[in-house]
Amino acid sequence: MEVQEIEHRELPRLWELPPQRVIEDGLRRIRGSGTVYKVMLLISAVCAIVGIIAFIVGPISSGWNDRQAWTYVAITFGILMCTIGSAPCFSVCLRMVRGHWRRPVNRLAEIWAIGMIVPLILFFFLLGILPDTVGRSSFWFGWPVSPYLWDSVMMVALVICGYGFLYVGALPDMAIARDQIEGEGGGIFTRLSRGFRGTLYDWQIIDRAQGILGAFYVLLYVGSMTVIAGDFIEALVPGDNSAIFPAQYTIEGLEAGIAVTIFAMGIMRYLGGLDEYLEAEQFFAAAKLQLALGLLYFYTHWTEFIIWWYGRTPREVALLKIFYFEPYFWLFCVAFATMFLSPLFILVWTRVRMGIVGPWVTSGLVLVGIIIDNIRLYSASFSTPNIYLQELSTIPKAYVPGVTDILLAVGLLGGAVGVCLLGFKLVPYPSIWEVTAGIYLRVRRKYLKTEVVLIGKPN
Amino acid sequence: MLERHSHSTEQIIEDLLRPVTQTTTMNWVAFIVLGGVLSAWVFAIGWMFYWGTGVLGLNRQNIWGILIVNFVFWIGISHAGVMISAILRLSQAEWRRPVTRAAEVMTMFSLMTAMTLPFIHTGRPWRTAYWVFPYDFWRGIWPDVRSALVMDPSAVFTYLSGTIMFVYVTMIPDFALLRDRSIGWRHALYRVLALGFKGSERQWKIQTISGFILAAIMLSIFVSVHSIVSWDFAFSLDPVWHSTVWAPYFVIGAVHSGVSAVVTLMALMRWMFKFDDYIREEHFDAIGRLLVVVGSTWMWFFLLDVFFDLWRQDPTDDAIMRMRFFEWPYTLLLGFIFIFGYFIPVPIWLFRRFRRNIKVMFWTSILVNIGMWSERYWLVMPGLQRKFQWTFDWVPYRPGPVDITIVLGTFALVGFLLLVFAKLFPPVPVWDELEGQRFAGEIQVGKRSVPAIIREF
Amino acid sequence: MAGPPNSPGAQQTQQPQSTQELEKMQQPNPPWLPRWGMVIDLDRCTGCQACVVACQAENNIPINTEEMYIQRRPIEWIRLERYWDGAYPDIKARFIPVPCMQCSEAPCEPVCPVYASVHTTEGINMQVYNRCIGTRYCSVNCHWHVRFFNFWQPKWPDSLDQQLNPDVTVRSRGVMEKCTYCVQRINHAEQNARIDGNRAVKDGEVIPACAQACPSRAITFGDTADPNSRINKLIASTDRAYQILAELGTNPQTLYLKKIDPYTPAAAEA
Repeated sequence: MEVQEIEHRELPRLWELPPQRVIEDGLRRIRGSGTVYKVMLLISAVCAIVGIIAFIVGPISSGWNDRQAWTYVAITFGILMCTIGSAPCFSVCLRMVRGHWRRPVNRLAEIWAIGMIVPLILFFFLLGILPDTVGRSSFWFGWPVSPYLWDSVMMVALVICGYGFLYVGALPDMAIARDQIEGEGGGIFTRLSRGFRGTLYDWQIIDRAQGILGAFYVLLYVGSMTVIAGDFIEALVPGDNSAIFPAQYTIEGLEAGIAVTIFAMGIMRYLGGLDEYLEAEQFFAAAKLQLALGLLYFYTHWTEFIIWWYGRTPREVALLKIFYFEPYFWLFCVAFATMFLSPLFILVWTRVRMGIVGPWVTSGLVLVGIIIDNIRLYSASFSTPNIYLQELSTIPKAYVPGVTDILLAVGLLGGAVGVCLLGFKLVPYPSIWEVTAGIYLRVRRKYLKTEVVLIGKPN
Repeated sequence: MLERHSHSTEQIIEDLLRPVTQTTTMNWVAFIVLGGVLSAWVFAIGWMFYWGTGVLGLNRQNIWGILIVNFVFWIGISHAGVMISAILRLSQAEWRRPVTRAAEVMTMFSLMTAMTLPFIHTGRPWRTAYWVFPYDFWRGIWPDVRSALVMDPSAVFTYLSGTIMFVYVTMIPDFALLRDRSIGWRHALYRVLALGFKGSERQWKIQTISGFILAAIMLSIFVSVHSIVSWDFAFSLDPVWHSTVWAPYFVIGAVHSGVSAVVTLMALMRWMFKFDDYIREEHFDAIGRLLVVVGSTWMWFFLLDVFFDLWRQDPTDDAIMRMRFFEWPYTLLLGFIFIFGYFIPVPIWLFRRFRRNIKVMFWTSILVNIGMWSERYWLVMPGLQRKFQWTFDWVPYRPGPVDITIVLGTFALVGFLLLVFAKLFPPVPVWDELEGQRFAGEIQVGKRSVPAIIREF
Repeated sequence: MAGPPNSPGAQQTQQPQSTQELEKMQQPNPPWLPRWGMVIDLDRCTGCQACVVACQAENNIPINTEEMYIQRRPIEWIRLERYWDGAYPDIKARFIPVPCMQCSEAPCEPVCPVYASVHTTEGINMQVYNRCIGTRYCSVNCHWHVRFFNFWQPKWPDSLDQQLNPDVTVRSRGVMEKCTYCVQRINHAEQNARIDGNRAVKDGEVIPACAQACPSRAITFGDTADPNSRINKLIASTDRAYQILAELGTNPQTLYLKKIDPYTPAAAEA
C-alpha cells in the first residue's frame, strides 16, 4: 500500500526495534566499556586527585576564618547543585507531563543523581564559613542551631531522595541485568534488584515509589536551592533582601539541568552509538523546554533588576553594582548571552529545534553560562568584608582566582563527572523497561489515505 | 480516556449546540438575578461619577482600595485562558478540548471587567482616555512610559486583543457550523463571522496554524501582563510592596486562581447545560493534577515573599508584618489564604478519588478563589496603612457600600457576559470535540486493550 | 511690564530691540538658577499650627470640616504631626511640621501616567492640575504622605470664597495637590526682579506663607544655590541638620534641625 509522503513537519519515527535489541543496547555498557569511556574515566580520576590536593592546599590550610579562600569551593558546589542536582527534576517534570518522547531521556536525566555525594561533601565543608543567624538577615527566626542543622537536613534529604529516585527507576532494569548477565558481573544486580519479578504488585510499587520520590525530590531541590541562595549568597551581602533571588537561582539550576541532559544526549548519540533512541524528536521536545527555561531566566533577572533600578535607593544601587554592573560586569554579560540570548536566538527557530546540532550547541553554551554565573554570584557574596551592615557602602573589588582555586574547581568538577560516569556501570542506559513500554504503546495504523501513529494512553 | 462515549457526529453537534438552541428556566433566572446586580453596579458607578470619589471608603493614606484589589483579582482570573489553551494546545494534551473555549472567553470577559476598574477609579474618569491612548493630545506631551500605569493598559489591551483574535480563530469552524444550521438574524450574524469557512483542507490548515502561532504569542504576553500589574505596586518604595518577587508571584497566583475559576466554570457548564458526556471526570482529574503543581508553586512564591519581608528585620517591614499576622482583619484573611487557598484544596486534589468528584472540585475551586481574593487584599492594603514610621498617620481602611457594590457588580458582569456568550455561541468547541472523537482509538497490548490517540505531529 | 503705559514706572522699562536682547533680559543675573530649599528648626517649633492656617489661606485649600477629619481626608499642605514621647507623668509632645519635601529624585514623578507631577528647573516638584486625571499613584509613592487628593468638589461656605487668592489655581475634584513652596510668591519675586533691571532674587525676598506666619521663626526658606543665603549659613552653622527618610535616597530639599532635648546635658552643649 502506498503511503502518502509525510508532511514536512513530521519528525522521524523511532524505536521500530524488537525488545531484544533494547535489552542488548541497555546492557552493553554494563557488560563492557569502550576506550573513550575508559579515557574519560581516567581523566576524571586525575582531575579528582588534583582537585583534592588543591582543596587541601588551598582552603583547608587557610582555615575557616578567611571566607574568600573558599569562594571556588562554593562555586564548584553551586555548579554541581545547578547541573547534576537539577537534572532529576527534569526527569520528574517529564514524567508528570507524560510525554511519549521522554522514554529514552528520563534515565539520562536521573543518572546524574549518582554524583550528588560530591556536592554533599563540599556542603559540609562549606558550613564552616557560614555565619550563624544571630544579628544578621536570615529566614530562620532564631531556630536552634540555625542555619547549620536545617541546611544539612535539607541537603541530606535531597541526596538520599535523589539516590532513591534513581534506584527505584532503575530497579526493573537491574532485575533484567541480573537475569541476562552471566557470571560474577551479575552478582551485584541480584542484591540490588531485591527479588523483583515483574508481577503486577511489583510494578505498582515501583510506580508509586517513583511518583512519591520524584515529587519529594522536586520539593527538596526547590527547598535546598532556596536555602542555599538565601544562606550562602544573600545573607552574606548586606542589605540584600531580594525575594526573587532564590527563585532565580532555582530556575537557573533547572535550565542547567536540562542543558546537562541535552548535552549528554548528544554525546550518547554520537559517542555511545544510541542514534536509534535519541533522535530529533527527543531533541525537539527537550529544546522547547530549554527555550522556555531560558526565557524564565531572563524574566527572573529582569524583575529583580527593574525593581532595584526603579527604587534607586542607595542600598539597591549598591546591590545592582555588586551583582551586575561593577566588578563582575563582563561575567554577567557572558552568562546573560549564553543562558538567555543563545537559547532565544538559536532555539526559537523551528528548523533548528528539529535538528540535533542546534539544541546540543545551545546546551553547551548554557553549561558555560551556568559556570560563569556561579562564579559571579559566589565571588560577589564571598567578598563582602562585613555582613552585619544595613547596606553596602563600598563595592568590594572583583575576586581574581589563584592557581589553587582554578585547579580545585576544575579538579572537583571533573571528579564529579567521573562519579557520574561510574553510574553507567551500574545503571543500564537506555532504560530498558521504559523504552520497551513505549514500543508496545506505539502502533502505526492506516487512516483514510495516510498512515498515522497511535499512542496508547493507559492512564 | 477510559470513559469516552462514542456518539454519532449528529448527536455531538446537537448536544453541544443545546445552550444556543434552548433557553431553560435556569437561564432566565440567572439573567434576571445577574441583571439586577448589574443595574446596581451601573447605578453605583453613576453615583460615584456624579458625586466624586469621595463616596468610596478611601482616605489620604489608603488612597487605593478594594477596587484596585478587585482589579488585580480579575486580571488574575484572566490568566486561566492562556494557561489552558496555549500551553495545553502546544503540548497537545487531549483533555483540553472541552475547556479551551470557556477558559478563553472567561479571560476575555474578566479582562474587560478588570479594565473598567482603574478607569472608573480615577478622579476625573472623563479625562482618562487621554491616559490610555498614546495620542499626542496636548501639545506634544505623551503619556509617561516610566509609569507602570501606562505600561498597564498597553499590556492589558495587547492581551485582550490577542485573546479576542485567538477566541475568534478557534471559533471560525463553529461559526460556519452555526451558519449552516440557522435562519434569520442569527444566520446573518454567523455568516459574517464565519468568513466563508467551508472546511477545505487549506482553510483548516490555516486555521490550525494561526491557532498555534497565536497560542505561542499569547504565552509571552500573559507573563508580561500580570508582571506589569504587579509593578503598579512593586515599583513604589512602599515597605512590603517593593519586593523583587512580586512579578512571578502575581503571575503564578493568577494562574492558580484562574485555573480554579476554570474548574468552577467547567462544573457550572456541566450542570447547567447537561454536558456530562463532554466534560467528564477525566478532565477534572487532569486539571486537578495541574492545580496541585500550580498551587504548590504559588505557595513557594508566597512563602518567599513573606520570608523576605522579614529578612532584613527592618522596623518598618516588621510593623507591617505584625499587622498582617496579628491584627484584624488581616489574621482572618491570612487564614483564608493558607487554608482556603492551599491547605484544604491541594491535599484534597492529591487523591484521584476526590479529583474525579465534581462537587468536591467545584467547592474546592471556589474556596481557592476566596483565598486568592483575600490574598490580593492582604498584599495590597497593609503597604498603604502602615507606611514607614509615620505612626501619627496610620489609619485603618474600611470599604464603603459603593465600593462593595462595584466589586460585587464585577462578578455579576462576568457571569452575565458568559451567559450571553453561551446563548449565542457554543461554549464547548464542537469541531474540537469532533476532532477528539476522530483521534480516539484503541490498541492491543498483550491481552489488554488500551485507549490511544493519534499523534498530531 | 510694570504698570499701565503712562504710569511713572513705564519710562524705566527698556524695550528690547532684538531677540538676543530679549533673551538676555530674561536670563537671571547672576547666571545661576536658584535651587529653593527649606529648613525647619524643630527646636523652635511650638506646634501652634499657624503655618497650617497660613498655608490654607494663601493656597486656596478647602476648609477642612469635622466631616473631613472623620473621613481621614483633611487637606493640609503643611501638617503638624504630634508624637507623644515617654509615659505619664513624664510625657512630652514632639511636633514636626511636614510640608512637601520637594525631593530632587522625587518618587512621585516617574509614576504619574500623564506627567502631571514634574520637576522644575529650580528644584520644585510641581503638580500640574489641568493634566491630573486622579489616578493617585503619586500619593501612593509619596512616603511622607504630603500629597492630597480632592475627593470632593471643594466648597468654601458662606462668603469664604471671597478670600481666595487670585494668584493660585482653585482645584476641582479628582485632582491631586500639594505644597509648592508658595511658587506664586516665588514667581512674583522673580517677575519683580526681572522688571527691576533683571537682577537675581534677593535673599529673603521670597517668604512662603508658612515661614511668614511662624511666630518662632522655625521655618527658613531660601536659595540653596546661593552660598551667601541665610539658609545655607544656617545649615553650615549646625550639625543638627537631617533629612527625613534619607535612606530612600530621594534627596529632599526640606531639611530639619534636630530638637535639642533640654533634659540631656550633653545635648544642651551641642
